[in-house]
Amino acid sequence: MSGTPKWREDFPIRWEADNYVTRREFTKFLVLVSGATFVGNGYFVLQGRREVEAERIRIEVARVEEVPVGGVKLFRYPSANDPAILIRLAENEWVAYMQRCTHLSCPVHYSAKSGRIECPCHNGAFEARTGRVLEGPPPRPLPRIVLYIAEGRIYAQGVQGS
Amino acid sequence: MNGREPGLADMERRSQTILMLMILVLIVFLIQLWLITIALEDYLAAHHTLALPTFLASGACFLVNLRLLRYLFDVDRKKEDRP
Ligand code: FES
Repeated sequence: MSGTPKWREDFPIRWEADNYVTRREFTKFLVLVSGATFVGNGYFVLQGRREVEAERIRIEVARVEEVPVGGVKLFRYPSANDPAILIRLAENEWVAYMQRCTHLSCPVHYSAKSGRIECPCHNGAFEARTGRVLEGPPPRPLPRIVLYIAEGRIYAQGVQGS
Repeated sequence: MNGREPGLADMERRSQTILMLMILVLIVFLIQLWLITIALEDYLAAHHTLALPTFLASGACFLVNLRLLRYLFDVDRKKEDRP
């Protein structure tokens, strides 16, 4: 004991030992986060499944005479939490998209004058006919809703990715 | 520097091993981050094709990490076994 300096009694842990423990603990933590990332990835599988299930459902959106040419109707599809927009481009031309902007999810609206679907938040714009991005920050086209028209009624039946 | 304290060189060597393990785990974890980004991008684009493959690949990465963790415990245990 006599050969041990005073500072050594106050700081008994060596750098090497300290490094060892911090690296070991950090590695354990990384493995934990790795597990959490794996679980997080599973969330997208479940959510995807749920959406595919939901998209099997066919729902009636509107009657043909309800929407004039250049007019729109808002509806919810595939679930009650998903706003969507139906647009009548011409007498026999209908399109429908998810109403959430692909940038930061603001609701988009149709401008009959310009023939574009516009997002007021950051001036994003999509082509009404195809849903592709014309300008602004949206990174991808609007997901399109597949329509089915029969006996004067319009039905939504599935979402087509960009 | 040498022979200052018995076991010091050993401690340094084990510390290096742990550092190497840490770097490997980190690399595998970065791959997982990349995979989850792909899954998110795919999900936001309303596609459902990449979620499962990325999930499985991420699971494989996690298993690799668990194996590395076991190796880490082995290294640790060896230290504790020492008298
Ligand atoms: S949210 Fe639509 S452009 Fe930013």
